[in-house]
Amino acid sequence: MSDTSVTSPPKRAGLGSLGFALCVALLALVPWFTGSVFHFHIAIMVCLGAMAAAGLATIAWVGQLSLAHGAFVGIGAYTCVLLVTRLDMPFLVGLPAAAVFSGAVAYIIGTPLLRLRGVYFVLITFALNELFRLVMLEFPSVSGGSSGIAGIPKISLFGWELRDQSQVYVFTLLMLAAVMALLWTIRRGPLGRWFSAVEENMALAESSGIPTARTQNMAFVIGSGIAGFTGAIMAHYIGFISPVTFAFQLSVSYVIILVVGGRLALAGPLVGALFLVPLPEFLRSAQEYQHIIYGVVLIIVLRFLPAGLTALPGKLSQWRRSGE
Amino acid sequence: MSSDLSINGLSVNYGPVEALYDVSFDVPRGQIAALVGSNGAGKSTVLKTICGLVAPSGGEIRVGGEIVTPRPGDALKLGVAMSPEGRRLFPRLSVEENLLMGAYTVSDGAASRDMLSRVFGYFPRLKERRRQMAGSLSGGEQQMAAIGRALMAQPKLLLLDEPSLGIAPIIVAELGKIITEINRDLGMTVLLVEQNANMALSLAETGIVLETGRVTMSGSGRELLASPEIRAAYLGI
Repeated sequence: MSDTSVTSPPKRAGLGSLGFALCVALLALVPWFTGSVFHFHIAIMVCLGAMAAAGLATIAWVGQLSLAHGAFVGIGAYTCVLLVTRLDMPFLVGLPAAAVFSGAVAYIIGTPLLRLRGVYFVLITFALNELFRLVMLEFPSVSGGSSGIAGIPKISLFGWELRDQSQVYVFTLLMLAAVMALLWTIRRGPLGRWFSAVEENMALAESSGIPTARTQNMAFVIGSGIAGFTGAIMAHYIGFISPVTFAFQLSVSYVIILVVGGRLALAGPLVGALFLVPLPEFLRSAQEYQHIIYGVVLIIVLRFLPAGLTALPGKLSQWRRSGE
Repeated sequence: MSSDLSINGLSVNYGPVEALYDVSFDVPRGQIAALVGSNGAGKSTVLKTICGLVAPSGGEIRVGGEIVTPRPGDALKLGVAMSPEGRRLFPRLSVEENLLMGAYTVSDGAASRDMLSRVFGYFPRLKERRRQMAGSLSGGEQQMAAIGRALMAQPKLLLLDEPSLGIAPIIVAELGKIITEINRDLGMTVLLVEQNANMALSLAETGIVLETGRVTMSGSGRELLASPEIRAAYLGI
């Protein structure tokens, strides 16, 4: 017994992640089984939620929290939409430009800001989100002001327009896979090691010669770049953006997705989005209780699963064993 | 005689509190020196000042002849590596990743791999547990990993803050032996800061006794171990 218990956990973890990948793959196929446009829409929103939360996860890996994540999604959305509608650029130029521009804004803000320790970064990102909204309202000639920008053209790739939901879904799914692959690569490489070093023991990281402020800023730039990337796809899928779309509420919902899914797990953003994005859609009749439901879920997760839903299988086997 | 570490008239204040007053001592190249003293004597402050984490209000510190300025990372460039007290590791990184983190400033990959195999040679237990999360190691193993991490920076001067704290006596003896070996094999100067005066002084060629921020005695490790004041105050004999 003692022998098997020593050797079995790694094997079980391997099986677990295989099972997890299968489950995700099956869930991803659901809209094709049902063929419902509504299910395709939800699936696209799950992908977009997971993608944005993946950006936030990168920032969480260095021990920071950005409450302006929604604003960075917005910066990407406006960047891409303005390039496409005003300068007649193709979507495939606007999309990377959105990521680069959001990342650049993050770099400019993060460089002085991440030298601060403690809660100041979080507090200032809170203010930034509001600042973004006010700036967008202030320059209606560019941003359309409070009435926003409507009639955004659909996503088109090399002149091929993604007309129906299932095509957009395939594209979004591929983009999400690319973002997750990026995160996976970061985590496995030296950059991921520096990120966790900074998150786990800042003083020791500093005394090992790791430039902690610059490392955190790198994560902030990558994470916000991913946010901008998400925003561009979101804007061209939904077809309408306004400053309200990217209000503080959106930032909070990304934080909740990440925390519920698992702040430090690679699959955290995916699990969080899979669980939380469809939830209000299926509880349409109880829409006025949506925020209450989110709040209750958050409290339950924080109380019983502080490492998020991704820690659930491990916890379950732990409970089962202690119950025996 | 060339000194790797030379501290001259060092004073440090934390606000109105005087932590160190006119502290001077030298550690000759290639020696083990022990800085002993009770809780709150200012031992850790000496280390922090050497690493540039605390700015002195007077005096100077030279490492290999160069003055240390109070900027983090500066001491590392001069060849100083510290194994700090308390939270010494990155708990969720593997043992090997923790060690590699110590070599962040070393650009020579071959030298790092060489040092890694040396560290595993000194601490075979770390090699057995190289893939394990550092937070799951025992206290003694964590201390070994912390010393190994400091070695990975290929320092000229190794600072060890309370390596015996909270560790079983048998492991303390083993650590002592390994510290001596490291000092001998690599010609590395070692400054050992300890409350465990017995262990530290029996390893050290030079001993310095610190009391409420002042140097009260210094001499060879053996002399200090034999002195009646030390025996009464620190060894309880």
